[in-house]
Amino acid sequence: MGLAIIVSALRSLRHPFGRGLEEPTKIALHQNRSTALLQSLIHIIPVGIALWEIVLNIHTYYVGSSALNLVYYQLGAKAHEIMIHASLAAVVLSYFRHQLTTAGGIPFGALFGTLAINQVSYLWSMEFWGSVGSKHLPFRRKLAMMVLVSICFILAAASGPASAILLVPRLDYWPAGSTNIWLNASFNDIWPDRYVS
Amino acid sequence: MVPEYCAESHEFVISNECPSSEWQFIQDYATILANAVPQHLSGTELEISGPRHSQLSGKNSHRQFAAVRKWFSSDEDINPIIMTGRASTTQQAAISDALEVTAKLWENAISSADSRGGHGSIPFDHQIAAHSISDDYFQPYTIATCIIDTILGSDDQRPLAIPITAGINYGADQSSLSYLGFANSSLPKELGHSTLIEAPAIEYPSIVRAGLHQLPGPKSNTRVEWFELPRNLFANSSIGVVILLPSNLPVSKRSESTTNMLVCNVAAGWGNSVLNATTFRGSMSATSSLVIIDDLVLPRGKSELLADSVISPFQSLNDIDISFFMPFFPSKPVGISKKWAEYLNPWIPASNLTLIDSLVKNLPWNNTHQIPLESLGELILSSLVTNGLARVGFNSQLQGNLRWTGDGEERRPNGKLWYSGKGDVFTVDTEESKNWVKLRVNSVLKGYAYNCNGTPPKVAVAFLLTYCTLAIAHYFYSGISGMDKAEANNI
Repeated sequence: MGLAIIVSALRSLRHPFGRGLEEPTKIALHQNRSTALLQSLIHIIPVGIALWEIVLNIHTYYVGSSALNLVYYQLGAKAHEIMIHASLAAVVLSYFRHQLTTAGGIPFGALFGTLAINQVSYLWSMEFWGSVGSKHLPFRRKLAMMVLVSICFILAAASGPASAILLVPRLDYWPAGSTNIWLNASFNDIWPDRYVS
Repeated sequence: MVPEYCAESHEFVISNECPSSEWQFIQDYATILANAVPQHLSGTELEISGPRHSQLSGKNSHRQFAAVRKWFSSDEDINPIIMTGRASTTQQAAISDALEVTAKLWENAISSADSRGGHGSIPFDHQIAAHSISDDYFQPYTIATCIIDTILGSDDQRPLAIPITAGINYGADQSSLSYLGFANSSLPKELGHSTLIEAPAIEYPSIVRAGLHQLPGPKSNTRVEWFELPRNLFANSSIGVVILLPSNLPVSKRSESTTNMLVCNVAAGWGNSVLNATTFRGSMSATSSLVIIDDLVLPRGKSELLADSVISPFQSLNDIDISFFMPFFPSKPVGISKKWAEYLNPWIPASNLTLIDSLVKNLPWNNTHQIPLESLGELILSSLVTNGLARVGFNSQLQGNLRWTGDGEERRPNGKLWYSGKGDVFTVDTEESKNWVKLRVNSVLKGYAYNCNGTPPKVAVAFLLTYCTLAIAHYFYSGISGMDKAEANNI
């Protein structure tokens, strides 16, 4: 009876303190392509910018003898880097979520990977190597996790400099054509071995 | 052939095919060199270097003349022989003119170039362009070495001692050559470096000093005698010169018997170079040139880098020394006849003097004590010969018909063809142009550009492509699997 009184009292405090002791069952994952694609739109802008930078540099483009203040290009590259980090974090998070829900789970330390996407030092941290060295993971899953996480972290670290290199125009010599020309004189007329008079 | 009217020179600056044309720049150069340091700050230990460039003209171009004092030392560790000379060079006038015309036509052709072909747009008001000729282009390089010597009257039967030119590898044991000092000269010793640097010279028995004493003209004038040098004794030398100095120079002591003279050896050759012209927003700069020399092996197995091997079209002559070490560079020596050399010393009717006489007498003698007299002589001769050789072929011109594009007011040289570099903008008759000089002009734009030149952009592209592949793969995975993770955030 005393326990029932306590439960009744706590039930009245359900709203200020959360949902109380009774929580309806929730569905963790839905299968809805439209929603999934919409949530993956986080990739669109950084990928679009990256492809634009790649095409611009491969096809070459001459800006001129002067360019904008280089600070603006650096700011743009930094914003692009942040977007790439978010994109890669979504990839890593998606992988871990898949492992958690359908593949039998992952070591606890692996969950920190998504939070540390902008820190390449995660690759030699205890959390990462503890996860990779876990005895509860089969070898294939360990390998897959190590490869994917390593690639994502290296890409995250390199994305900023790579974007800056391609976004900041370089002061360079740009081939602008060539042609033969002729002068109405022979080689000896202009450069004789001996000039007599 | 040099026109006969080149035997006289106008007092005003005129640029034409006469070898002595625009000689006034030598006057300016020598004056600036002599006045380089105020008298009260000068000292015998100071090595005064003159202005690096003067400007010369062609028919439609400006060229840069450069001169520098060169020092050469023999290999001996003890008492090495030190030789000096004044080296100079300038761009070949006819080629400089042709390059400038080509550059101006290129500017016109820009507007017909479009954004296809991977070149992007080229805003006209944002251009620094450089045009260069690197293959088969030569220009004159001259070095002159002079010594002060004397003629002791009309009975002086001593043979003339001619200095061997600095910058020429004679291959012989140079310690066996006779030396000359400043003996018996009535000039103050401070005027010459001969007391400090003994110049090796060869006694040439065919010319006796007494004969030079009888050169026509008053002794109060500078008298000049050119003579061709035998190849067996003076390999790679172009011509020798004796300059009898006026007896009434402000700095010389009066002497009835002693005649002071400069004896000079001039060597000239055609050196392979890169000719450059730059344009900026429609205006042309003077043409300039660079020397490209790889590591050369000197005799006795000793290697020496004589010049930087940089082809940058925007690098000025200030960064590169004038190289001269025959027979390596310049590689094509040129001989000069006495008859042609006399056109270097024409008569100037306005001043009633010859050119060299005018130059000698108009030197700032109050300040010349800080510049060795032989150095001034080297400057005059080296400059005259370089300037004269650069005007060879002066009247030759750019030939051919242009390939045009557009009609009426829109008609312009075919810029698209030009930029592609896959065809010639000029068309010439094959038969007529068989013996013509043919040169290749390469153009570059300096400015900010996006391209994949070099390793860093390629590495950056690789990283971003990898990221794009990963992100797109994830996007398709999401679409195929359709796994919506929204509720997972609320657990």
